[in-house]
Amino acid sequence: MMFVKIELKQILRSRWMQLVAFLFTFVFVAIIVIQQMALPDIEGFTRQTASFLSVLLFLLPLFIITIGSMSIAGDIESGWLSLLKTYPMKRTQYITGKYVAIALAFLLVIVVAFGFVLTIGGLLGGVRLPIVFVVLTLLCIFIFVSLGILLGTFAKTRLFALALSLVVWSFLLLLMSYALMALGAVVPGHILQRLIIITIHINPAEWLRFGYFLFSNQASVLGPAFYDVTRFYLSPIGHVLYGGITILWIVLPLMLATKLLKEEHQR
Amino acid sequence: MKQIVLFFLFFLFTSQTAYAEFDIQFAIDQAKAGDSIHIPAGRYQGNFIVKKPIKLYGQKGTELYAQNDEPVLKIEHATNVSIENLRITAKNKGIVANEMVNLELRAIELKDIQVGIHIQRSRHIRILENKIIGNYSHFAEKGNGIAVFKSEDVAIEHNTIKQVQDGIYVEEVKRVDVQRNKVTNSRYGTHFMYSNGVKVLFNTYLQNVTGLMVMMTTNLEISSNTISTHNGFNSYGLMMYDTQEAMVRKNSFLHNRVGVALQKSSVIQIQENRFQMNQTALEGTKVDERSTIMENQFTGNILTARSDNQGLRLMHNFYDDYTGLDVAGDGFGDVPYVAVSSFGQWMVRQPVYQFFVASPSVVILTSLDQQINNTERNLLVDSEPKLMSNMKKTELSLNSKQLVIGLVVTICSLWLWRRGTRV
Repeated sequence: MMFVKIELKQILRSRWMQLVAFLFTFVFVAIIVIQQMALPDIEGFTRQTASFLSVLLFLLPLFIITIGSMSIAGDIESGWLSLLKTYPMKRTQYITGKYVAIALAFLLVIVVAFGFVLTIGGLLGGVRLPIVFVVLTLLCIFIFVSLGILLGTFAKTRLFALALSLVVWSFLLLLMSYALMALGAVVPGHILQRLIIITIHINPAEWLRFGYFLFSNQASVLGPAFYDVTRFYLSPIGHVLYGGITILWIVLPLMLATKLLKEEHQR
Repeated sequence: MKQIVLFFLFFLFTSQTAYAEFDIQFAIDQAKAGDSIHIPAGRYQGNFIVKKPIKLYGQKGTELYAQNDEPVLKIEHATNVSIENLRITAKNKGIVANEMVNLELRAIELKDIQVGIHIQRSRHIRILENKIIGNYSHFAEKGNGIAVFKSEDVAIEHNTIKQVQDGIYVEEVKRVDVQRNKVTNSRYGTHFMYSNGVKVLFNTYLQNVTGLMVMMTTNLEISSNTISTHNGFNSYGLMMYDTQEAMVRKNSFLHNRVGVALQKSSVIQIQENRFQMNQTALEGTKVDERSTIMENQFTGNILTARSDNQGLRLMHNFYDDYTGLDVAGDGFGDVPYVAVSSFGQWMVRQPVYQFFVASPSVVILTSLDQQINNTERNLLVDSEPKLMSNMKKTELSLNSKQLVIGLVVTICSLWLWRRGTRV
């Protein structure tokens, strides 16, 4: 517990984290104001909903995995981890403590941003903040903090952690999609459809995006080609499976990170 | 005794109301012009024929059915016929009317039929408040809900139709009003061929292969309809082929593969419609330059418009993906809106690509695309895009509850942040 408090204090004190909070608040408020003042009141998936989704899926994972990975790599690089090893603290406790501290810090960032959105929205007559969107934000934090910690244990130095985070982020958010689109030019539609379904499960960004469409009853946006897979995930078994895979995305990277640290210690 | 029997026979043949133990065909044959026949509740098997001006009313629970392939009710060579409140079950056709003048079919329920109502060579026809439900076979094996051929002055209103080939099929008809009908789960909601003077108002078309199919027809008004969820691989909300002089106004095109498709058509005015969440909102091939797309609202569509090299004339529409400014303050964007999009064109070619819609990768791609396409000046360009939609009045009223919650959340979170740095 004390370790979590110390870590949280360090993260909240960092200028980088404060800038992230400012950026998120600014972007979300800007979208809300534009939506409120310039757009028709329509339900369903609009480009404004898409703007929120894009900002969330684009910026939040970037900051989370860079800050998360650099936090771990910084501990290794500065010798803070070596010092901690002299205390009666297990690797699992270290990883869990880091995870909780970083996740809490980002939760605070999101609460500040949503607080500003509600305040400005209240001045403009009220805004809708769908619960699916809030849940998606929380899942995004829980999954990508876990991934960030794993990347940090790989990297060892802060610069390498930054580079690795950027590569992984661009691969998950951009390159994987572009590769599939390029593949679509040479393979038939039904093969591309199966590849995309695989990608949904192995790419956490796509998994969250898929979850947003699924649970906001907007799965038709993904097109008729994905009717079967969305219908399955909208069933009770599908809901359970979605929850199970999401938990795996959180737990597996943390377990792997713990294992890597132990192996490093043994070496 | 003899007098009593004669009294009853006289009553049976002259009264406007017939009673139990009823022989419908006998009653029809005996009725005089202008008589009303009330059919008592019950199931009646047969193929009934009307050839005189009478009114046929069924009491609640009256059902006519046929076990052969002949129509249950045939109405021909007559004027002023009215049929009301019946339930009809048939293997093939429910009602067939031929060479009629002044026919009204009202509140008739036709179930498990191949063809519901078939009208030909008739004038002044009113088909109102009927309910037609087809069977579950493939569209190719089904007939139409209401089919009208070579007729004049036809009103088809307040009908509910589902699971048929074409909900309403109209061929070579002059002056037809199709109003306030609902057609679902059929091939085409309404299908016009070689017709003239068509009005399609306040209808709902939902989950058909195509909502409205218009071919070789002139002089149309299509207004205030809701055309939604036609997203099969060959689906359209509204498809117009070889059509002239049409006004398409104040309709809602929602969730369709293609909202409106125009092919080889001329003098088409598409005004004040709402295009929302369609894969492609507008598609045009060989559309003449007198056709205009004006003052419509495009929101959440993956692709706003695509066309051949003749283009489409876009004017004063609202586009939710327009990024220009209105420095002049006249309500229109200062730079033109260009509807060309590479991702949209790919998506049209390979529907699976739709999965990536609004994904971060596509957002970046589209932004780059728009910079490149800004040089486009001829095709799919709206030189004066409307900047603010007139569909919603902006009211900057205060939502005090949300404001208080927002302030509390903000202050508490900032206090927590500050406290966290001091732990």
